[in-house]
Amino acid sequence: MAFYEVKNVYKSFGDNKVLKGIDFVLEEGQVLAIIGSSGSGKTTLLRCLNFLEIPDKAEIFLNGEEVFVADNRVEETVGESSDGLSADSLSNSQENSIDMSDGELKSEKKKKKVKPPKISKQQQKQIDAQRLKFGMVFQSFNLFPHYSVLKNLTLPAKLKYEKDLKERKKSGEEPSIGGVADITQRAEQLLTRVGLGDKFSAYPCELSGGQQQRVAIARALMLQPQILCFDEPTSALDPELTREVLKVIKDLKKDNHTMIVVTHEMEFARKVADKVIFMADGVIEEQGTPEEVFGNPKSEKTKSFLRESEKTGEED
Amino acid sequence: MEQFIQVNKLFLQASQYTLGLFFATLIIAIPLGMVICACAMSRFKPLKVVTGVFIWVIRGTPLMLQVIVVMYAPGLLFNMPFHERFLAALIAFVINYAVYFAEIYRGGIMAMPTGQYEAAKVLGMSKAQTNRLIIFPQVAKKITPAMSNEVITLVKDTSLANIIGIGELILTSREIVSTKGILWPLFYTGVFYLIMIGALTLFFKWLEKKMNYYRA
Repeated sequence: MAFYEVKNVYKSFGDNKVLKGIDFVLEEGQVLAIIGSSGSGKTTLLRCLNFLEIPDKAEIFLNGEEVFVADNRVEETVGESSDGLSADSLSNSQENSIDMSDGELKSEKKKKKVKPPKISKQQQKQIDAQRLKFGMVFQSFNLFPHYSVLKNLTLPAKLKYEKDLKERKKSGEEPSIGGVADITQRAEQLLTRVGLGDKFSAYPCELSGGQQQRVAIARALMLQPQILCFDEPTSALDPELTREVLKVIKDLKKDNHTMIVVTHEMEFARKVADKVIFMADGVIEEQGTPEEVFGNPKSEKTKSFLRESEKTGEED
Repeated sequence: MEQFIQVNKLFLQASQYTLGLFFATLIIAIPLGMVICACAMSRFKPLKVVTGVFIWVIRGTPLMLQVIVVMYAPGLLFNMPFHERFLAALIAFVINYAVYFAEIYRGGIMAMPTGQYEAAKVLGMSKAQTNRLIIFPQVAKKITPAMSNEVITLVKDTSLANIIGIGELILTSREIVSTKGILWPLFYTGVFYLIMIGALTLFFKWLEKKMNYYRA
């Protein structure tokens, strides 16, 4: 079994089906780059993997452990006569609708009002328990502007530490060694590592965009996620600052961090990623090693996307 | 000269009512505004609707009318006349200002970028922690200019309490005008208001500067 397995991810916003069945696997220490044009669903996919959006349906396993297995879709098209077809195959493929009998088409129309799926309390609990296994770095950094750089790192870690401590006391276990001083020390080490050893007490507004994004990366690392996700981490940065951020991500790869990066930086995807997924219209159009996807793309959509992105690259 | 000193003495006494009403209103209305704000932003629809209507009524009628209603409505409707004039004025002021504060709080919370909530979420913070440690401290800074505006207005609005016979500055000056037959004390009240508001302006300047250690 692979380190990280993602199967059948579906997500709709109202009638708009954004993800229509995403499957991929990732090994420990690998870097996955997700590319594709705007609106292809790549950011939504990443947000689903982080549970910033709850997938309508997904089976996700990490390290052989169940992270999220649920199907909360509202069954829109279960007609009496559709015994041979599961709701699954009806909702995701248009070809099937041609084969449908008139009766089924009618029942689909009747139940057109799709309600967003409800998440049970138990599911929410499970999601909250799994959330910290995934770190997230945002396009717009989202640092806490009213706290110093150091506190941006230590605050979430301290809150997690206090929570763990409470739970250990409840279950009668010995509280673990280390603590608040430990957290501060680790935060300082991480900041030094991303090249901000002299900025502990600075406020985010005093930093450049590249520096802010490096703080955000260090902040995500503080909670020791098993997979670190990046949502277009350099899209808000100019080329020079982009380079400093990408260098940090490359360094993390050396330390065997598993990462998923949604990016428009084709060069970065080509050089750093172990695996590339090209998304179009809510499905994975093509996936493989960078050599396969960039060197010898099979799908027409991939080819034209890569051609276009090269053109804009030249114009820069 | 003797007259001038006497007027000042009377005005200083009257200022006690003005300032008393001002501070008491602030102390109660600031937290009460938070409660109203929470109700107005509640996900429980009926509570939200009722609060919305309440805000509409309070913002939609003059404060002077509200003071009169609180003072006389219990007596007229339930035969339980209000004897505490100051308390009646205070109740009307607190409700009125709490509603305005609630709207300012709501505006500040709505202005928070969703990215702050999302960052807190992926870092494992609970909703309560997110509000307490991430959202509210930033909202406090955002709303300071709007709050200072409202607080300054409150100083001047205390003069409306004269309608139910509270001996604040305006009422006192009008009494002097009618008993002594001199007009200048009415204009002279302006100096007292200017001094109070000058002090508040300095305070809010200091507060804004203090909160300016970061930019959002």
